[in-house]
Amino acid sequence: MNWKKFFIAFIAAFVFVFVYEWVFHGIILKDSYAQMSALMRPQAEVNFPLLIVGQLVGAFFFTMIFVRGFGSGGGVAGGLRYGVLLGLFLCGGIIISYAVQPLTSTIAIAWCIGGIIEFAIAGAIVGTLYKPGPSAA
Amino acid sequence: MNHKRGFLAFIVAFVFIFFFGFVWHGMLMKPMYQATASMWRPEADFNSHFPILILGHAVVAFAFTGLYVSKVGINSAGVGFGYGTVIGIFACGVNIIRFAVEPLTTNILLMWFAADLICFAIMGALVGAIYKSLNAD
Repeated sequence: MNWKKFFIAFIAAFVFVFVYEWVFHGIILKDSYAQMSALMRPQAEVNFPLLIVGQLVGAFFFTMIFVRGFGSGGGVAGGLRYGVLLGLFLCGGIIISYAVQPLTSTIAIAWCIGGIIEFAIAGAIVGTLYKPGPSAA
Repeated sequence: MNHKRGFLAFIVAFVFIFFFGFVWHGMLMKPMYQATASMWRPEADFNSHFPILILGHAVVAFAFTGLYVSKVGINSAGVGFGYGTVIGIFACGVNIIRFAVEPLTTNILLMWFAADLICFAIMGALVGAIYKSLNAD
């Protein structure tokens, strides 16, 4: 495993996820969240450091799963396919949440589509940046 | 790709995750959800969304199995267990983000951690034990 490339890919994935989710959830969906305020913490109670920790854990294991053989290979295209499948996996979780929580259908659909796009791009980034080291090393 | 084995693994994964969810969320965590009732659909509303709940589980099982089949493809319960474990940790990152923005209790978060780790590790072992690529023999 090429740790230097792994770390670069992980940081790039984290920065992308952070910016994408800030734009997607913090700006584009902001008005939609106002319609379901009972399901969200008030702005002052949002635990921002924990939000970052969650994104770091997600980005780290997203990259790790790709690199450690569970999704490796294929470069950009391989990363894209991997990201789409993992996005679909999370989309299933969102569908389950919609069945049990009074989310609006607009939010559920946006989370699914937005999530698949997010992880497809993150997969392409990781696939582009990570190159395995020499096998003998 | 061995479509017959892949389909069989998907069906087993779906049946397992559905029954695991029924026991874990529907029975074990029921008091926790009752204590936070405003965050969840009322019983009648939930019952009318039950087909969507089944669809969500099917999507999760499909993506989980699809990723294993297309990217791992090794006939081994141990490898599948490892795959499921890292997928479970990845899912925990998503749970942390949800906890940061939704008024969930710490007990619910911890139970979701345990559920994702146990459920996906076992599901991975099942998929790994069942799936066998066409050129494996």
